[in-house]
Amino acid sequence: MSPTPPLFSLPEARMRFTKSTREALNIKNIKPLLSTFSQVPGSENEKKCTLDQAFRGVLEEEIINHSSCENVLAIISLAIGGVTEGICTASTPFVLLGDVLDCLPLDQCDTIFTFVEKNVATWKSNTFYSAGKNYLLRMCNDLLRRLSKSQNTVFCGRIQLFLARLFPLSEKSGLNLQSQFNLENVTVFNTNEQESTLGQKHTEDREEGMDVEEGEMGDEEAPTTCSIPIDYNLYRKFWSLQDYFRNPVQCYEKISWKTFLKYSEEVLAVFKSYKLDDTQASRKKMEELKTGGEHVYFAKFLTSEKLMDLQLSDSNFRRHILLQYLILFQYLKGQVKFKSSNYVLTDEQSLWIEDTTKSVYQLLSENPPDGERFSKMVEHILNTEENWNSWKNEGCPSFVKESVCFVHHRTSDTKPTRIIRKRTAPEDFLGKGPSKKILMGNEELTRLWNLCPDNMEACKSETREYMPTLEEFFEEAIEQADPENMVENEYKAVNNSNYGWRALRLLARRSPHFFQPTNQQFKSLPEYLENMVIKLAKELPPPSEEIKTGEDEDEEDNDALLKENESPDVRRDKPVTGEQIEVFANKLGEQWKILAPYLEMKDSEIRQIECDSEDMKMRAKQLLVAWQDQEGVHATPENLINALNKSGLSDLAESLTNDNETNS
Amino acid sequence: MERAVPLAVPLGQAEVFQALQRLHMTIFSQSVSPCGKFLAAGNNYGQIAIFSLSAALSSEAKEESKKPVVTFQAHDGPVYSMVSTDRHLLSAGDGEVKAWLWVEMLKKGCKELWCRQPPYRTSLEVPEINALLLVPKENSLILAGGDCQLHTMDLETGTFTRVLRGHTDYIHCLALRERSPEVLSGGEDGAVRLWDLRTAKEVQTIEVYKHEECSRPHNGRWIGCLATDSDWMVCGGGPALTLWHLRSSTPTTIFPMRAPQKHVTFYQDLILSAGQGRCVNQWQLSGELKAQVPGSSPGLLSLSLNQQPAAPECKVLTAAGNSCRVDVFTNLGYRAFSLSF
Repeated sequence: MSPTPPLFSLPEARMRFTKSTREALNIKNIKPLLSTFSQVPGSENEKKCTLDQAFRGVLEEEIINHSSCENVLAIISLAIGGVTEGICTASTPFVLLGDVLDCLPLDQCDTIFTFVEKNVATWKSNTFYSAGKNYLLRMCNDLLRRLSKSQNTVFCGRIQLFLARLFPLSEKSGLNLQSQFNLENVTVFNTNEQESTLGQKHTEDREEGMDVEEGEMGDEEAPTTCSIPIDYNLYRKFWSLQDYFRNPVQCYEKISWKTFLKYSEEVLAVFKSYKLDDTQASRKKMEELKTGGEHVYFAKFLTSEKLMDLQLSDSNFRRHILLQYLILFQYLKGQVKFKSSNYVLTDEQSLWIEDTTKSVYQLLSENPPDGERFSKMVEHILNTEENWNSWKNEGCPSFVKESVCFVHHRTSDTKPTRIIRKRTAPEDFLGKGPSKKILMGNEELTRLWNLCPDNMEACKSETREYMPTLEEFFEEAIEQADPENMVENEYKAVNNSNYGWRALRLLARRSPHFFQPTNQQFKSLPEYLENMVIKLAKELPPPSEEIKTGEDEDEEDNDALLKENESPDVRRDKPVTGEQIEVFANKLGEQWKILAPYLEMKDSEIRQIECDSEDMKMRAKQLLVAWQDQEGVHATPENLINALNKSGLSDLAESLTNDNETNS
Repeated sequence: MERAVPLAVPLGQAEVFQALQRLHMTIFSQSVSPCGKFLAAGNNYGQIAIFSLSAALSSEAKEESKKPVVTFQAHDGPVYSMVSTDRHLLSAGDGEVKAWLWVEMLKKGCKELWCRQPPYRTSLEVPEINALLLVPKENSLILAGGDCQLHTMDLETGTFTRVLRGHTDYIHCLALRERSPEVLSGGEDGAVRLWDLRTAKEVQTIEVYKHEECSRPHNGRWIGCLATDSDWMVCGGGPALTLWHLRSSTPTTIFPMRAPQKHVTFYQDLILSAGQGRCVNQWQLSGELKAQVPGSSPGLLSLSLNQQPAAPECKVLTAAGNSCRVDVFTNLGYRAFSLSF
């Protein structure tokens, strides 16, 4: 034994592996391969690759020798076993499958595919899934391309089902992401009488019938005869509708839309007037006319003229057409991310679509059998379709919910996703947030509340003083008490019981005289009041001028009170005053236009301002005034500063900030 | 009366007059040509228009195909009824019946073959002829109308052979019972009378209004339409549309139609009727309304089924009434298009 490990020799390794594979195939057991694998010198990777090649080689021989499917499948099972044991790469079984399906005729592919279907669980397991899914997808697509949808429908169906089971729900490869239409699905019908198949069929009849036509009324050119009357007008309009269903984007063009509208109205009117009964749907009457024997990919309508009558009386056919309408309307109305932006419906079109949708549903409900149920189901399905549509628009997010797990640490690729909700934090509500405003949830309420956020202070404000002063209230009485004025007793206010009652209350609140003990005995309230009035009159300064100035003082006090209640921070959130606008407009000057879009002014308004005056300062001022009107309570210096910063006029923003601060 | 001409282009007097005429037109009668390809319609102005059904139904039909091939003035008064033999079109109006050759009519300026007046009681009478009926077995024509009598005219000789009297008021409609042969006539007096043609006597009288199930006194007692199918008869008008069993003279089915019906006919296993109201009504013999297909005229006065064997592609139902249009139904389910004067 040499001390250095023997080198890896590809030909030798391959030969040994091939022999071993054959052994394993014969005894249908993987043991020989395992032993060979351990014996062959070389690194893991080298050996794995060689084994892969060996497998492929053996498979190739088997295929060339037209061996049975069993053998082939046995090789693939060996390969699967090999992956599990770790002696070959994970993609090998898939490569082998691909080879097999490419080389075998379709009937044998059926058997192979059954094998594939049975092992779905294996393919979905971790070791195989990531390596094999693309191979499997490609393999299935190749198969589907080879198969004919109309003749091998079951096989195609099986492949689709397999793919559905293999891939997760949100796998994008199976989706029609861009909502494209099958534009090749053209419905052929006879647009003019030369193409009509009727003439060809009946030429023999015509020749025989020539003699009979002597009695005709001098009509030389008899049109192609047929045994039933045909409404060509309806026939043509009806089948041309199919073109709109095939390619709905045509509906966005004006002219095509008008045609579509006209034809639809006619057809729907026919449906409305031609009510169906259950007894009428008799499929035995349907004749079959060949449509030319072209290869049909999708199910197609038979469009012969003779069938028109029968089709109109068939309730299933009618359901097809009405359903087509509903699908079309859903597409036209819907939001699809990949729709070009000029594909928008006008108001008129939307209105027509609304009305027609209702009448289509009505027609569907009247359509026997079970019209109501069908109509409801269709509505439900189309509503569900909306969900799928929006799912596609969002880029097909995965359906799998990631569980939020704090205790168990997951692997790095599955982080617990927490839903971050953008709710306003509670601090904002209480006025401690950045804007120092208390948010009430409604603009108006917020404004009202923030006039004076602190309730207690608000209650203390001077404006809430509803109790009059002594001077005000007793002014009249004092005048009347003056003997010079010669007011008669019955006209004196103090004799009014209402006045007296209020006077007493006021005195109790405001006047110290009320509480002074007195020895005078008053017989009645008016006398007492007279007495008080006289006392007050002596104390109070002359009524008229004093009261006026008193009111002014009150107002100023009120204002001062309100102003004191503001904090400096809140001041910046108050709307700009007229003065501030004037001052700022002068500074803004020509740059008003730069600022305008950032203040969310519409182009029309900007133009209006330009037209209104030539003076730059006027325009600036108008801009600011318009902005103030638009924003209302949000026309604050702070917002203006923000807009200025955004528009790049930051120096103006600074100066405005400085102004604000100097004013405060 | 204002001019009801909604066109923007100023028209000459003639066109205005024509438009007005069309507005006020009523089509009273229709008849299909023996070859089945043409339809004649007679209106209240005394005009007869010939439409080409085969052209209108063909695959390359245009708007002009829906206009008459030829229109001519047939009578001085309205053309109340028309019927076709295998070579002639017979039309009847106020007091006279005229015959036209179908082959000739398509050419302009065609003249009637002959014109006859049945013998009236006085020479001052000019009663309208409301109904014409062909009796192919004896090659004669029966006329009935305003003078409350049925006149029989021999088509070979042109002489009036018999007069059947019995109705007390003018006669609206006639029907032929092939087997007997008997003629049924329905009139304003509310009675359906059966006449035996061989004996020229009245054999049966059914006074419809006397039967409670079908009488509708608020509409009157007049019988506006009649159709018979050997043992069965359907009649309607003032009283409700009813199916009668002739032998027992009993009403078997009453069709729940409020509007008085002006024309009724048997077709396969259905009964088609039309009258006041836009729709052609299809009834099953059990009395159920199978379908109501709206037409384009506000009221219908005549229905015509083109069952001529020579033209199966023109096998259509045509309906006409209080307008200048004749609706064509290729399929009893919906109105395909309208021919117009």
